[in-house]
Amino acid sequence: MAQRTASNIAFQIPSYPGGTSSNYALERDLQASLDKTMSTNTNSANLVVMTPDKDGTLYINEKDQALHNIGRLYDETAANNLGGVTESSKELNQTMANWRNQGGEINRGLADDARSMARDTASVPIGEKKVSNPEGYTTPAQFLGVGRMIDFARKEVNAQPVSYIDAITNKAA
Amino acid sequence: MSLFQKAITLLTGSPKDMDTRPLKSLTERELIELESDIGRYLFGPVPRGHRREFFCLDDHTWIWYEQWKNEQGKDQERTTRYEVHPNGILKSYDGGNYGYLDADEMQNFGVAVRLYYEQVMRGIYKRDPATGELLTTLPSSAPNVTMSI
Repeated sequence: MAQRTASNIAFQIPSYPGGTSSNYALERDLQASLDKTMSTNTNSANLVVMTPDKDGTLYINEKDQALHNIGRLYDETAANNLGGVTESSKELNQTMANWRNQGGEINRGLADDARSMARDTASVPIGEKKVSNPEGYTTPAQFLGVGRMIDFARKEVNAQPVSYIDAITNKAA
Repeated sequence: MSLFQKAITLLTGSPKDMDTRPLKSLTERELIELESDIGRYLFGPVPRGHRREFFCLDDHTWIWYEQWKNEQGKDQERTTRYEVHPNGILKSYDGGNYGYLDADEMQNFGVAVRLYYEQVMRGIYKRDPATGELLTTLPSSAPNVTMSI
């Protein structure tokens, strides 16, 4: 199962020649914000958190994710008073197109809803649940524990039935 | 061969090993590459023209590798190594520049490792991150390590 992040929601990108759309200003702002995000984005605080359920399924859907991203980017735009459009902001276009393709509209009401969601930084909707933004590990013991578990999982792979390895390689495909 | 490829070859064996491995088994190198497919996106989108890898090398070492072209079109790369020590996480890059992570960087690293762990365990190894047990009905001999998640 491929993980879904803001960067791999693939949709065709509509173009905005001349900015004639009434939504153009908003989209332009969002694009500018994305540019800034992409140019400085080595901070995990920008992650959209997707918490799998115990069966490994990610319950956040593209609509939730797109809305969350739009809101976050919109808030960043407002905070930084950014402007301008560049070629590198494909991701936001994808996110916006994704939203449209699912029947969403780009308007100020959406922006308000999205901003409200993004400001709820402690949670992202996962299905009908609210899942807390995870706290990171902080102690050496936690990091060592994680490393040992991963090491164990690697060593155990080839001891499992062929069907198990099939599942792993299919995941990778 | 990039520094990253050399490093991973030294640490986990030559890629040629994959040609001779038995059918249906996976080398540690291949598993690390699968994990890095998840790890590379934990810090946000990979900028165009960049290659990024982030993975757990062994139980106390994490690697962040980034490759890109500079303004002159020349390949640039940086390998950052995070080592778990009893008194903190020691970061080094490009073979030197040692220093323990400060509070902000430690927080980001901690979140990234947690997300990596949870997604890798569930998505690749089909195991419960909290217990290490398989998510299938297959028996498991997971070590008695309980993560406080």
